[in-house]
Amino acid sequence: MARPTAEDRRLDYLRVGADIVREFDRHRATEVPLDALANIKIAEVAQRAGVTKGALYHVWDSQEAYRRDLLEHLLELEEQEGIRETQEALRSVVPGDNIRTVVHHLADFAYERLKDDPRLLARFSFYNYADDPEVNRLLSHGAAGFETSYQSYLAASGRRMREPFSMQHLITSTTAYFFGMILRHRTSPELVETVVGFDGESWDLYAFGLIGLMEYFTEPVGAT
Amino acid sequence: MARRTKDERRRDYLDIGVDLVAESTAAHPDPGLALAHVRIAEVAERAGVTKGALYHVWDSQEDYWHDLLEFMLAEGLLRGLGDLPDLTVELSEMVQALPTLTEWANFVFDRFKDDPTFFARIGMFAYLQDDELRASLDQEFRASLERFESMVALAVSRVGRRIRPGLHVRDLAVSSSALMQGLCMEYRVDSARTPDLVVDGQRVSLFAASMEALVETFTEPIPEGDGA
Repeated sequence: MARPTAEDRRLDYLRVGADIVREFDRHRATEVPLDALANIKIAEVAQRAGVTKGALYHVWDSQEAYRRDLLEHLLELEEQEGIRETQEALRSVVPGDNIRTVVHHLADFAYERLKDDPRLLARFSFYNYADDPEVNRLLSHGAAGFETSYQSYLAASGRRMREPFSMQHLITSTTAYFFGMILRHRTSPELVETVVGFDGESWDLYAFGLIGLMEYFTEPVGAT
Repeated sequence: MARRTKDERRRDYLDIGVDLVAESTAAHPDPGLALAHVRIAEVAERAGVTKGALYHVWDSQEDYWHDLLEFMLAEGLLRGLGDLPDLTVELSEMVQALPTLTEWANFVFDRFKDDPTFFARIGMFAYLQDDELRASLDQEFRASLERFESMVALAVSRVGRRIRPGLHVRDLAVSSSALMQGLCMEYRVDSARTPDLVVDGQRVSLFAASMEALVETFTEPIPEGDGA
């Protein structure tokens, strides 16, 4: 048999790598989330900030400690502007506002602001590492803050959860739709940035789907 | 100007780190984020060679990742959702009839919720600034969407409904696929976040319940005697 060429070997080694990516061993994935940030160097951060490396080492003991903190900063969804403002928007809901007004708020604040946020894209990468306890804690935490907001929104718009659904179902489903539509927006924007007409109003596709989920999982208080 | 507190400076430095992450992935696919778990040592072990053999080909781990990403793109190895139409055929044979919306949704969700290639592709989203990568994921999505669309259209007509005026079946298909992928992500973080329901003794996955919601919103009943 002919001796494999350098190019054959190169392709062999790449195929092995592709297998590892596709097999995606969940247990191995717990070892590496910080490696993912290996190209972020304290020296470069210091240079960018116009300070000495010493200034950063005054805050963090090591490069690894900086990366650990950075990971948290990247994944902390509530730190993100859109989410914070959504919470604000939901707090400003007044009794009597109907569900559709609220959905417009949600769509304008959260979706419009976050759909192009590079941090959210970086966050998606870390789903690879969801078995790492720290990453898992951070990814889980994101939507938890929604629960209080959803409750106050439901109360204000005179709705409640509908049997057999729980608040968990509503939150998971709407969060999933939010992330999923952002993923779609990132690869194929023209399929998502479409306006649908309904009841004489124009809706962005995201808002339209969201209203569907909100109305389906809840019912007006007093419904039998 | 007041001197910034230690905590403010900490935030400043972290914000710069975030910028660096965003820029390093935006400038060129420098695949630290998504491929960090593919170590040269492991590749060498699986290939039955020494690490040195790989370092003979690539100067560094980063070079290997870079080449790997290009390779996977060129070979179309990031595809996955293309399996959908076969799934529907497979399911139809299993239940010996066209599946109901709930059966179909349960089946699709179960198939994809643990699919490693799906999460491998999600990892690639950090590199969407790379035109080639974006085009590849876009193309893949459109191909799967065409099939998804016909399944959705079928499901809608089977329950005696039609797409509302002002909307297109594609809008429902895009929304449904977004929901499915998002639910897989939620499930990946914690399976307790996507609890199943039981309705009339039948299992209804959260994807199935949410699909029901979308179908109700995007479609309307076909009036009696209309188009029948």
